[in-house]
Amino acid sequence: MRAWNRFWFADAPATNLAAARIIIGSHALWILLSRDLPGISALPADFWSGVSAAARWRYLLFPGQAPIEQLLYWAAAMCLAGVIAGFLPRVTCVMSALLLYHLAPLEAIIWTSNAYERGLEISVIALVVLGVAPCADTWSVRRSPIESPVSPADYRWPLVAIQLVIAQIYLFSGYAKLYRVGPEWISSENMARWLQVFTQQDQVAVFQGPGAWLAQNAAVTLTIAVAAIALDFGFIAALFWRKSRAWLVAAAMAFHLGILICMNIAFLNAPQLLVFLNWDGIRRRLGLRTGP
Amino acid sequence: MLDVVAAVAFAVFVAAALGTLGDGLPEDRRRRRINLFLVVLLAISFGTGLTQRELWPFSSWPLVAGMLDDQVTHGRIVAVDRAGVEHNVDYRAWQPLSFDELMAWMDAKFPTLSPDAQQSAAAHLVSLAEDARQRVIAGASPGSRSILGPLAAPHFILHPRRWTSRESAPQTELVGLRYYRETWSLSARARGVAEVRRELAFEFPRP
Repeated sequence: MRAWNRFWFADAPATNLAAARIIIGSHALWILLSRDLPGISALPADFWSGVSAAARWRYLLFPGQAPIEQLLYWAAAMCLAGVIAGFLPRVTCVMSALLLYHLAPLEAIIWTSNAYERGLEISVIALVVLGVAPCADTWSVRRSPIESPVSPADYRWPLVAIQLVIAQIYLFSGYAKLYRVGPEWISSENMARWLQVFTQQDQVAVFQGPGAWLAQNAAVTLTIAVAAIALDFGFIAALFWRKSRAWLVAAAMAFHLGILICMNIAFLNAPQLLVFLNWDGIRRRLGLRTGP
Repeated sequence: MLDVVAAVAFAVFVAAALGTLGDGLPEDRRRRRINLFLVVLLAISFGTGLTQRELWPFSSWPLVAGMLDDQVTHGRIVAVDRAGVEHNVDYRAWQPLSFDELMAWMDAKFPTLSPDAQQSAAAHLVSLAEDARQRVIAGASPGSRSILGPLAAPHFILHPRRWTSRESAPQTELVGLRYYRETWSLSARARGVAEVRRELAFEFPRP
């Protein structure tokens, strides 16, 4: 129990949680405004005919409701602007989470009810957490002083919860490779094929050269496979080992940049890694104020 | 069934989160509620990851978690103009659909539609491609909607922009669509000796 309390409830500054609010809100707004989600509702009924009743009711998504979805889309955008500004955070965070839970699955609903890898899954979870946390006690538009100061531990557990679900991306990604394939996933041949499949298709390949070049060398592709698994299982250390955080975030960013250039895969959650940085330390170094 | 489980899991997660609110609660009682919420979060997220079942927004993240064969098959949609010439379509033309969702739908759901429904859906896709072509010819972007313009987030898988100028878009009206499945050997293609075998899976309008 002592280890549990030390992990979740150690004292923490308000700044890091406020930074998480701004990062999560900005990222979600960026993804939302980049997609025409209400337009999916306006597709002809044939496109919706394969969507099960359970999936429709799970997200309250129905075809032919584009005007309503448009309204909800802009409501979500306004709530996310409120999240970023720290305006009525309890309301704007929870409302954003619920609206994104409804809207985000539209992107893939015509063939699957699981919209993972589309960039908004972590946002939904994180916004629920932020909605019940004192995430706007600094770096917000709030003018009045905080009426009932919270314990410094209240700035810690919500941030760690958000960091946890981000770290799980890597942990489960590594686990999935071994669970679904086994240790043979870590082979130069398999890695070379993954590089080739994303660089040989003219419908996908924005970057062709680097991936195709790497795929030619068995030692290099084996190293990539080992490094990928190592990062997948190693990133969780960022939760427990403070000194490793900046290095692991830098390694993950470099990893995603490499994947972008060599495999044409844009990991849309990458900007959310910024919640691992010590924003309070950065603030102090830059001499910025914390107060509202 | 999984849809129901996922919906219940998300409802429990939100309820447990809201349960931590209570400004007037004694500190120890509030801490118990926060602990309960954290246990719920751990149970759902690790339950999803370890069982490799999707309970969106909780995901099992199976990123490139597969073993690829040397032979791969991928779909290709081409638009056909009045002269019968095939054209690759810029991925932005399919908006609001993203290219990858459309291709997945073409493989998973489209074959289950009745022949008439397939023709009707294909007619809609042709209209999207033709509208995009007309926008490009008029000097605009092929995408129907671009609030953020070039700052918009990419999709998970990148796609090259094909219709980047008036000249790069088809010059005549698009009136048809063909869906092919293309198969090739990854290793042979890497050596530059592979042939791509093409199989016509669907055509609109009917020949």
